[in-house]
Amino acid sequence: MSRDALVIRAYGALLWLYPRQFREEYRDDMVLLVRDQCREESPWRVLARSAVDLAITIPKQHLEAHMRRTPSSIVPLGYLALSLAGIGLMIVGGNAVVAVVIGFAVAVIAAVLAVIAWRRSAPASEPATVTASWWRFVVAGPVLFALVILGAGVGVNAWFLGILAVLSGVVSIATGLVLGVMHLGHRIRSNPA
Amino acid sequence: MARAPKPLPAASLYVVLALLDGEMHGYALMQRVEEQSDGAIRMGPGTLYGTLNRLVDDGLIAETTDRVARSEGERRRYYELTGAGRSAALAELARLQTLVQHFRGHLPGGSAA
Repeated sequence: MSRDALVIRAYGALLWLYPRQFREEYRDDMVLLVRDQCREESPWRVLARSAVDLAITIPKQHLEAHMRRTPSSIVPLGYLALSLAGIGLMIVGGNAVVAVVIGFAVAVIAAVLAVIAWRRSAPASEPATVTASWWRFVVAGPVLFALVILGAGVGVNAWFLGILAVLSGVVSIATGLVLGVMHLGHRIRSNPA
Repeated sequence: MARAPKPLPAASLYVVLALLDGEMHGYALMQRVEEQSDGAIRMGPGTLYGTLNRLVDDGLIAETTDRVARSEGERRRYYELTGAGRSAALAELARLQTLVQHFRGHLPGGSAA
C-alpha cells in the first residue's frame, strides 16, 4: 500500500470519531480533500496537520450535536481544564515518575491544543494583543497557589513542584499586573477623549 | 441603541470573502483562504466542513451541487454565497476598513485619520 493510501485510510478511520450526522454528511468530502492535499505535499505532513484539526473539531462537533451553537470558547476551555488536570496529576503523582511524565505530557499537549483552538475561534479582526490577556495571568497566580495548598492538604510530598508552582504563580501575577498597566496605557492613548 | 452584529470567526470570515469571487468546492476554498491570508489561515478538513456546515445552517451560503456540471465520477460539492451571505461579507469588509482607518496612525509610515 502506498504512503498516500495509508494516510488516507488512517484519516478515514479517524473520521469515525465525529458524530454520526456530521460524518455521514461530510465524510466523503473530507477524505477527498485529504487526498487532494496528499497529491501536493508530504502525506505525513498532511496527516500531522489533520490530527491537530481532528483534536480540535471532534469535541466541537460532538458539542454542536447536542447544542445548536457552542460558545466559541468552550473547546479551548475544555483543553485548558485537561491541561490543569495534567498538572494536578503531576502534583498528586509526587515521586512517581510515570504519573509525573504522563501528567506533564497531558498538560503540555492540552495547553498547545487550547491555544490553537482559542486562536482559531477568535474573530479575525479582534486585536489579539497579549496585553488584553493581562487578567489571565493575574488569575493564573491564585490558581497555582490553590493547587499547591490543595496538594499539601491531601498530603502530597512533592516540595520541588510546590516551590516551582508558587514561584510561577508570583511571576504570573507580576506579569499580569505589568501587562494590565500597559493595556490601560494603550487604551488611554487609543481613546484620548 | 442596536448592537452591531458579532464579528464572524476568522474561518467563517475568510470563507465568505473567498466566495465573493463565485462558487467553489472545498479544496479550492481551502487553497483560496490560504492564499488570501498569506498562509496565516490553513484550514484542516474538519475546520473547513464544520465552518461550511454552520454557514449553511445560518443561511449565509448554499450548496450548488445540482447546478454545476459534473465530470464523470466527480463527487465534489460546490458552495456559493446567498444574498444574506453577500451582505454579511460586505458588512465585514466595511467593518475591517473602518478598523484599519481608525488605527492607520499606528502603521509604519501611517498618519492618523
